[in-house]
Amino acid sequence: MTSPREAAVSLERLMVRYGHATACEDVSLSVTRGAVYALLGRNGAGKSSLVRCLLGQQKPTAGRAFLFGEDVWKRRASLMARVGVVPEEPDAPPAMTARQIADFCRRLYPSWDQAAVNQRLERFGVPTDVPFGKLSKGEKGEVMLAVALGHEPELLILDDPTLGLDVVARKALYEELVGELADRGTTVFITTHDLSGIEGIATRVGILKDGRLVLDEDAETLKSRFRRIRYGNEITETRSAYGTELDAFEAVKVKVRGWGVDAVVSNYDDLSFERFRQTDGVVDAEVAPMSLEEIFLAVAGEGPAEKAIGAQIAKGASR
Amino acid sequence: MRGFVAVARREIAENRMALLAALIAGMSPIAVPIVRNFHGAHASEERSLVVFFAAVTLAAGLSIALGFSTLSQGISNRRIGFFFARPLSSLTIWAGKLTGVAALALAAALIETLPSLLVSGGHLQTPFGWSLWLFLALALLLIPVSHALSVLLRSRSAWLALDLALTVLAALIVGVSTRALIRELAADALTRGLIGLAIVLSAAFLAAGFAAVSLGRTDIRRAHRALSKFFWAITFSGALLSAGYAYWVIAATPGDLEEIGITVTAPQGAWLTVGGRARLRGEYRPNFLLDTSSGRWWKAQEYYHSVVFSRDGRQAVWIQGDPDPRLGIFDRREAWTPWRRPLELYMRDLTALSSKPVATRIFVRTTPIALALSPDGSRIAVADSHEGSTLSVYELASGRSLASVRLPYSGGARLYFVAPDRVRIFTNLPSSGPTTPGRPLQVRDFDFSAGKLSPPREIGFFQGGVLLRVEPSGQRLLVRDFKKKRVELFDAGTAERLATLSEKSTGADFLSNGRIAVAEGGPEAPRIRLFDGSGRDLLPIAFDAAASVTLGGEIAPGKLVVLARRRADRWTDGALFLVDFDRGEKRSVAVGLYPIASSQAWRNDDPSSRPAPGSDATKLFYAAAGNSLVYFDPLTGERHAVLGPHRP
Repeated sequence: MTSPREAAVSLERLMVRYGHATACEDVSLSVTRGAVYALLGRNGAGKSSLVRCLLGQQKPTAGRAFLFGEDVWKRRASLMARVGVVPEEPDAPPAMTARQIADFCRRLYPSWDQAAVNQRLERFGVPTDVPFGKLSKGEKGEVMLAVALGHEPELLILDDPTLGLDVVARKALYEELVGELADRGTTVFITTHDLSGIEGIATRVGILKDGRLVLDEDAETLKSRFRRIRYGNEITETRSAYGTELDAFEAVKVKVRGWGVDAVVSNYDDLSFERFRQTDGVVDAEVAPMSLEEIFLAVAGEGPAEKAIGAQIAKGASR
Repeated sequence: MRGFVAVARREIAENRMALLAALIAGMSPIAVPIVRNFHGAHASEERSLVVFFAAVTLAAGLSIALGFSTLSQGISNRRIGFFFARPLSSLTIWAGKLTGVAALALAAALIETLPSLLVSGGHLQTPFGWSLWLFLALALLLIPVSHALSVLLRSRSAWLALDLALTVLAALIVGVSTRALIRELAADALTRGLIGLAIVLSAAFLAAGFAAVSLGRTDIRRAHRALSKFFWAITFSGALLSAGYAYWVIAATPGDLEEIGITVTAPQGAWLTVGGRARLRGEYRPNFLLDTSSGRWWKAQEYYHSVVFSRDGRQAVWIQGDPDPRLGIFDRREAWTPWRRPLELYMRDLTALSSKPVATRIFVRTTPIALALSPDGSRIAVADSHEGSTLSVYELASGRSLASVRLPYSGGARLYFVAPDRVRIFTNLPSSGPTTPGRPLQVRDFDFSAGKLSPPREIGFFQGGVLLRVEPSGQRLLVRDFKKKRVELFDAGTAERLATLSEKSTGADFLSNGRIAVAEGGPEAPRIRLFDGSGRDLLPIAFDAAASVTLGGEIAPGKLVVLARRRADRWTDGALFLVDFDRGEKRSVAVGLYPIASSQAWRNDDPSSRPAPGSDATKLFYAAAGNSLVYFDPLTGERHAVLGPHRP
C-alpha cells in the first residue's frame, strides 16, 4: 500500500459507528495520485459515511483518514482548497442560483476559473438564474460538478454522483470527468452504483460490503483474474471423485444448472484452465471474461452462499 | 476574512426578506398615535414607546428564529456539508453565519425605527431613558442561545435527558448561592455574581455553539454531545465559581470589616455587636457578636435586628428571619410570604463557648419598634407595629406570652422594665394639628400581671426628636430636645418636670451615683456641667480650646470620658479627656479616638442596657475615622486594637 504521505487518499483502519450500528469497519485503502478509484457497494454498505470521513465532515469512530498525507479531520479547511466535491445529495443552499453559488465559491479559492465554470454550466445547459432548489436532480449534480472543478482541484471526490440521473445527465457527467482526467490527470475518488459508467475510467476498484472492504485492487488485475467458467460434468467409469474439479480455482460463485456448472472464479489463469479442461468428466469447458458489474454482483451479492464466499474473500484480502 | 465575509453576506442575502418586512412593520408605530388620536408631544412619546418595543421585539424574534435554524438545521440535514466542503474553517462558518444573522436582526430593528425617526425629526425618546442599543444587544444574545437549544432539540438524543438533569443541578447550585446572598442582604455581591454568571452563560452558549459546529460538523448527535460537554463544563465552572464567591462573601469574619459601622455593647462584660462593610465585598455589611477580650465571634444571620444584651452581659437577644434552610414553600407557618420570613426572637448564652443561638418560638409580625429585656433577663417586652401597635411581654425560656396590649398609636415607642411585672412606655406621638406646640411625649405603665395599661401622662411637646435617658433606678428621666437644645429633668413615672438643666446642650447623661452630666456648646467655650439628682448645678468644667464636647462612657464612678473636638464637624483630631467630677479636674488622655458609648447613646433610654461604670463598653473607641476599633483604658493607659488595620 502506498504510504499516506505519497497517496492522494488514504484510510487507516477506519471505523464509523452510529450507536450500536456499524457503518464501516476496519477499512484501509490508499489511492495514488492520478488514479481513479471506484468504491463500489450496495446501499447501506457504508460508502457515504466513508466519504464524509474522507471530507473531514465526520469524525471516524476509530482509525484515520488522510488526504495528501494530512489528517483530514484536523486539516480539513486547508485540504479542501485542493479538493473538489460532488456530494450524493446536492447540498448547495436552495435559494442560491448557479451563478450565485459560483460567485460565492469564487471568493474562497485563489485559483478559481470562472470562465471554465461558466463554460461547463453552458455545456450542461443549466439555467444560471434559477434557484438551486428548483433545478432538476441532474441539473443540481451538474452545478455541483461545475463548481467542484472550478478551482482545478488535485482531487475530485464524488459520492454516487449519478444517483437518480437520467442517461443523458450521466453521459454528460462522465464525459466531463474523462475530459478532466485527460486534461489534468486529477485524482478521482468515486463511489457509485453505476458500474458500466465507471468501467472504462476506474484504474482501481474497491468493494465495500456490510461495512468492510472486501476487495481493493487495480481494475485490470481484477478483471484478469475473475472469469466465468461453464462446463458439463459427466459421470465416467474412471472418475473417482465428484465436485472437486474446481479445487484448483477459488470459486466465488458456483451454480449447478441442468446443462452443467456455471462458476465464477477469482484466480483464473490459462494454465490452470487448460489443466481443468483435462479433468476427467469435465466436458465443453468455456471461459468468459467478466464485466465490473458481473464481478461486483459475484462479490457483493446477498445470497447466503455468496455471503460465505464474500467472507472468504475478505479473509483473503486481509492476508 | 474573505471567507467570513462571504458566509455572512450569504446569510444576510438568504434572509433579506426580513428587512423588507421590517420596513413595512416600521409604519405601525406611526399609525398607533393617529389611531389613538394622540397629538404633539404625547403622540411623539407614544410613537417612541411603540417603536422601541417593536424594534426590540423584532430583533429578539429574528434572533430566536434565525438562531434556531441557521446552523443546526444544516447540521441536522447535512446541508452544511456545502460549507465544510470549502476551504472554510469551522470558526469561519460558525462566526460568519451567526454574524450574518446578528447583522440582519440588527439591521431589521433599525430599519423598523426609520419611519418613526423620519417623522420625529431624527430623534427618538426611549421609555425610562433605556438605551435602545443595550436592549438590541441583549436581544442579539438570544442567537447563540437559540442555536444551542436548536441543536439539543434537533438531535433527539438521550443526551437531552442528561441536559435536563444538569440544568436542574446547575439551577440548584446557582439558586442556593443566590438565596444565601439574598438572605445575607449582600445585594452588591449578588449583582456581581449574577452579572458574572450571565457573562459565563453567554460565553458558554457561544463556546458550546461553536463546539457543536466545529466538532459535530454534519453529525447532529455528535454536535449535541460536543455542545453539552462544552456548555456544561463552562456553566458548571461558572456556577461553582459563583457559589464559591457567594460562600467567600458570606464567610466574612470581623477581621474583614474595613469600615466599622453600628456597634452595640453589652452593659457588662466584653461582648458587643459589630457590623460594617466587608473588604472586597461591595456593600455587604455582615454583623457579628464579638467578644473583645477573647476574639471569639459569631456571625449574625440574615434579617438581623435589634440586639439587646442582658444587664449582666451574659445573654444576647435579637430578632432574625428564620435560618431554617428548607425552601419557603414547605414552610407553613403563619406570617410567611415569599419575600419575608417570619421574624423570630433568638437568644444566645454568651458565657458558654459552645452555645448556639436558641430560637425562642416568639414570633413578631413586623420589625419591632422597641425591645426591652427585664433586668434579670428572663422576660422581654416587644412593641411592634402590626395593625397599629401592640406591646407584648414574653417569658424567654418558654416562649410563653405573658400579656399583650394594643397601644393607641402606631409610631415609635421606647420601653423599659420599671419593675419585674411592669413595663414603662414612652411614646412620641405625631402632632395632632398646626395649633399644637409640637409632638406630645407621653409615658404609660403596663402592669402585665394585672393586664392594665395606665392612662397617658404627658411629659411635654417637642418639635424635633428627643433624647431620653432614664437613670439606673428608673425613677427619673432626662429629656433632651434636639431642636431647642434644652435638657429637662422629669419624674419618669408621674411625668412631673423637676428642673430645666440647660438651654444649649449637646448631650446629657446620668452618672452612676445619680448625678447628671450635661455637655454644652454655643458662642462661649464648650463645657461640661455637673448637676445633682435634683437638678442643682454643682460645677462647670470648661474646654477652652475646643469647638464642641461629646460625652463618652463612665470609666469609673464619677469619672467620665469626654471628646473635645477642635472642629465641630470632625473628631479624628479631637482630644480625649478624662473628667474627674469628684476632684473637678480634667486631663487629656488621647487623640483621635471616638467613644463608642457616645455613638450608641440613643440606645440607652433603657437603663438596663446602659454600660455599667468601668465596663468594657466604656473603654471601646473608634479610631482612624471608623476604620478600627480600639480598647483603651484612660486610667491605666492600656490600649490595643480590637478590630481593623492595627489589630495585633
